[in-house]
Amino acid sequence: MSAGRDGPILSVRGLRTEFPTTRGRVVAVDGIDLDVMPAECLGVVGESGSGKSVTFLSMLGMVRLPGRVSGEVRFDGRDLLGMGARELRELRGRELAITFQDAQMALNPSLSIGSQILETLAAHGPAGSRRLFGRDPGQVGRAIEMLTRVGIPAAAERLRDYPHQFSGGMRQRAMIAIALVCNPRLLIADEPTSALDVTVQAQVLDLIAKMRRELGMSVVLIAHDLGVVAEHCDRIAVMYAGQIVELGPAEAVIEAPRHPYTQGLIASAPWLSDLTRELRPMPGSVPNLIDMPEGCHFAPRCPFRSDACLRPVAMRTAADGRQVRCIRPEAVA
Amino acid sequence: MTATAASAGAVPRASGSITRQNLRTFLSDRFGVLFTAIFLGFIVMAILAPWIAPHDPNAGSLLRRLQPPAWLPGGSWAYPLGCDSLGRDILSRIIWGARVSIFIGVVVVLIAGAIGTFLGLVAGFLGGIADTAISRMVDVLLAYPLLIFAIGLMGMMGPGLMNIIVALVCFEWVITCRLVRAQTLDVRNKEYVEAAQAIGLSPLRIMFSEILPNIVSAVIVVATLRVGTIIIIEASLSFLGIGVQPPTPAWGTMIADGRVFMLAAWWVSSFPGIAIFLLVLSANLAGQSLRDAFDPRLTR
Amino acid sequence: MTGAPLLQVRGVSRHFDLRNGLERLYKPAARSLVRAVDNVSFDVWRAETFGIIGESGCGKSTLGRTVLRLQDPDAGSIVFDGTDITRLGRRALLPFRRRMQIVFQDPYASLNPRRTVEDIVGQPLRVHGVGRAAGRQAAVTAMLERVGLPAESLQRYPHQFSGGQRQRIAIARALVLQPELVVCDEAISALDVSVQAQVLQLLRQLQRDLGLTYLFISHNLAVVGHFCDRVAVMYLGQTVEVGATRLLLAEPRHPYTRALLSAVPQMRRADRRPRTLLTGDLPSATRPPAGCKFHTRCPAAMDVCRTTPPALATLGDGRQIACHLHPG
Repeated sequence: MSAGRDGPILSVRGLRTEFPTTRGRVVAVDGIDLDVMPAECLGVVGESGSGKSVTFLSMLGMVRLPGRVSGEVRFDGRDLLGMGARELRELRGRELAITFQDAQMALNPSLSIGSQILETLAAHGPAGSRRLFGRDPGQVGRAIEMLTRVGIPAAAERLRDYPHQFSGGMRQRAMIAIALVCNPRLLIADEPTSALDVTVQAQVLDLIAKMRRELGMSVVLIAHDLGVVAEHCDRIAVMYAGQIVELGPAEAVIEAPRHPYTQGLIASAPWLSDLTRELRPMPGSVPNLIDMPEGCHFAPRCPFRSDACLRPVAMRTAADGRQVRCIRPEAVA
Repeated sequence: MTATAASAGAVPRASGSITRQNLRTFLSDRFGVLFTAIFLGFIVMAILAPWIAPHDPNAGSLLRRLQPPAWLPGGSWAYPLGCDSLGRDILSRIIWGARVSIFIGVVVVLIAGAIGTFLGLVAGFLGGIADTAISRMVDVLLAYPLLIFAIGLMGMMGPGLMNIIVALVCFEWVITCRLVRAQTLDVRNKEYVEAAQAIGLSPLRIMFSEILPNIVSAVIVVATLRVGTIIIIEASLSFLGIGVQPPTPAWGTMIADGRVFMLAAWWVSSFPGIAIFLLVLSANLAGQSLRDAFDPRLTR
Repeated sequence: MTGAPLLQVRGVSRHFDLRNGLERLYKPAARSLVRAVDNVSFDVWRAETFGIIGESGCGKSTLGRTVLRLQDPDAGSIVFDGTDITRLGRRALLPFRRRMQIVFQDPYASLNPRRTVEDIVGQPLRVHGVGRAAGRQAAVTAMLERVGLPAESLQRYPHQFSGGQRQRIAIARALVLQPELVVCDEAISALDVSVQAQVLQLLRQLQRDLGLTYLFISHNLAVVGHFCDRVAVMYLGQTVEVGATRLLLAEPRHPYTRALLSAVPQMRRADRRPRTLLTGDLPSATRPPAGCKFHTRCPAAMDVCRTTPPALATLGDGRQIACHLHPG
């Protein structure tokens, strides 16, 4: 079965990831429901330990044992969690691509950039062009084209360069080139710019936006910086302690946040556009996954907490379609 | 004031010091505990040799010459592992030999460890000329085949327990030194070392009270591993006749003595061989599980 | 801003030689020398917060360490409260170490994992022989309370605390000797967003209570904008623009400051402006461009920029700028 034209390209229901540890079971991802629509850019924000990266690694079968993933993940109607490792690998390079925060770690240091692109092409490219020995000139041309498109000057010469000969920004570009070389339908960019300087960050984010327009793909942009997500995404999912606490159109979430955590996050972030705005810090710190508060995970830091918050809180949908995980009536009013 | 106090969050629960946590990790590793126990058993055996050895290790009798172990025809339970070419009890000689082997292994590693740690700290922390001088010396010594170097030194100084120790220390410090230097270079750039500098601590105090505690566990672990190697080298030297001199029982000498009778009386060489094997294996595995438990990079 | 500045930095340079001992014998120095800090001058006044902003590799952290004499400058002078400390030996420097301290970026690396909190925070007191044991413990407890940590923390180890709490410990250690100048080197950058504001608020509270002067090094323009009175923008080891924070961020004049500001992502749509995107990456530190070091990426580069390095000129509004477009 295949999802209709207008249906979501990625659909997640009840995703849960657990890791057994010596000090008890850790629930890193705690019931995620999420849809990514075709050609949409979805932003996922959260602090360290919010589970934002693990969520997407879990969907792609990239969580190592003894981690356990359950729930339902459908990509274009196909069930990802039930898929065999081989099938998943095929899909991962071709239709579904992922880039990581640390390009230095994600690129193989002892292979040239060119051969890493060609490797991807050889594994996932059109079947007729596979060759055992030598390079397919068509594929080399495609690799050069891809590097040029991501903004690497003199791409033909740099094909032979190794990752360490690239700067941080160029490595991130090269990783994006590798991810996009097979025209994927969904790109998951995990903190693509957190390791980069602000001027280079702007370049890379603009590049991702440009590639999204050109390839008509969907993008999931994972970041800890609200500004990054606000600028580039259509919708925002705010994650806290393994759960999505707020989900809605980017502008609405930023201008009128409804979950106390989102409100706190925005109130505590300094704005360049308003230097006199007083920062209101959120008390406490992100809870340890080992002893997660019962009920609402944010309750211990929440200014509005009541006894009712000690019971688990479900995601609620407001009339305007925004979703908030909070029991206060005004959250979904 | 109260506002900031409230916003810092709860104090963590006490979960014991790092060392106690490491100890718990270590104890949960059954294999490690088993081999550590065997290694400790050898040490106890060496210490208690005069009381637990059934016979005088040097009392021989030609009547018992090459007597086989107890379970073979002609053997007796009075001499469970049989006797050597002079009719001395092999078990007693192994028990006494453990003293020599372990003493040399431990003393060499201790002395060499102290020297190597100091020079490694100096080289790694001070850098510059001190580093160049020490590192080049280390490179030169490492380029020498170890056994040839020891044979040469022993040739110059003559055999004897003290001379073996001196000869072994002469190259053994290099191992610790190289390790400590590398670890120091790593730790030196940690911000807490810079913080100590900002406070105004002297270089010597930074080396010994800031850096050393953070690398000492690695040194201890490697030292445990090196005890095995040193025991083998000492056995090799004794085997070659330039180590511990007869009649002092040493495992290497015992193997050398027995090699002439290998076909007729295999037990003379085999039992000390097994003893070396077991001691070195248990020392190594004990060292490895210590490392797994104490290496901060492996602690979760 | 009356009297003499607390800290005067004059023409300070700090170079790194990338060659090892053997290579020094045959390799020419010119190609292996990194000018991490290159002829930097500024003043910091008592009780002000002076920000240093720039991207990675611009030399801001080296500058902070050089000011504290954790690294020795290759040229220039550092004057602290009227005394030239540039060439003081370790012992002569000790009284000044009490008066200037540092808080590092990574609270996981800046606290010795083998020591208890009491040991860490009390160490500066012991080194400088302040008070007796009982008095020292009281001082440590008081300081912990000041930074928002309860007295039960004394016997705990750093790994038992969260990132934000660890940074509070690091701040307590820096402040226990009651210094006048505190260098904050990316002191909140490693913390979670929701904790950054807490620590920032604590630093401000402490500044008010203790009359501290901060040298606040950061790559985050919004944080510097909120926290600092004056700011210096650094590029490849040099300051390109120095002035009052409000002025500099509202009306940046140097093309690099402008580019830096326009690259910061804005949360609200109304605040977004068209980007002036910089092309390319930071040039190699061992072979910086001739003339103005920024000309290779500057959207307004002229011929003169490729040959002549611009001097730092003071404009009418009090800011200093090193750019041929603004000759002063």
